[in-house]
Amino acid sequence: MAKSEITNRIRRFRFDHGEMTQEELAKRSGVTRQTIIALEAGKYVPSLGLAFRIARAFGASIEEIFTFRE
Amino acid sequence: MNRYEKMAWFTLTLCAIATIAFLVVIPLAGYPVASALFGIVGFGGLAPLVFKEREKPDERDRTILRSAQRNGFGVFWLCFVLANIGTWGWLYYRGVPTVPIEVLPGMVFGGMIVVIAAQSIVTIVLYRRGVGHGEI
Repeated sequence: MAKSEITNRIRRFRFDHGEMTQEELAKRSGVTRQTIIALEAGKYVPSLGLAFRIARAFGASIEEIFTFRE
Repeated sequence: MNRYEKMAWFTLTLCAIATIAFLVVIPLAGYPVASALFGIVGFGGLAPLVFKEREKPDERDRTILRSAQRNGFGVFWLCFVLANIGTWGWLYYRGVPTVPIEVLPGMVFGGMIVVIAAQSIVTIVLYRRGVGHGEI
C-alpha cells in the first residue's frame, strides 16, 4: 500500500493525556478500538468528521494531530 | 480479528468446501447431484447470527465492506465474461452449435461463489493491510 500523505500523532497525544487508552479514545470518537489501532499504525486515514472528533477528544486542533505531507 | 473478518473467513471456508466437494462428487455422481453441493455456501447466511456483536460497523468497517462489495462484483463480472466467451469459443470451434442447458444454473452457482469468495478475500486483505481513506 502506498504511503499515506496524512500522518498523525494520536499515540503521542494519548500518552500525553493521562495515558488515555485506545478503548477510551475509541468511545469518545465513536469508532471501534480496531480503528484507533489502524489509525495509529498508519493503515487508515480518517474521514474529516472522525478527524474532528479525535481532535475534540484531545481538546486540540486538527493540525496539531494530523499532518499533511506533499 | 473483528466480526467482519471472522464472517469473511467463515464464508470463504464455505466457498472452498463447496467447490472442493463439487469437484470431488462430479466424476462420481454427475453434474446435477454435484451442483446441489453449492447449497453449502447458503450456510454463509448464518454468519451474522453466529458472529454476533453489539457494536455497529464504524466508518472503517463500512469503507471496507463497501470496497469488498465493489471488488467482489468486479471480479464476478470479469470471470462471467471470460467464462461466457471461453465457453463459446471452446464449443463453437468444435462444432457444437448449442450450449447444454445444464451450463446455465452452473454459471449462476459459479458466479455466486466467485462474488462471495472475492468479497471475503478483499475484506480480509483490507482489514490486514489497511484500507486507505475513510468516507468523506
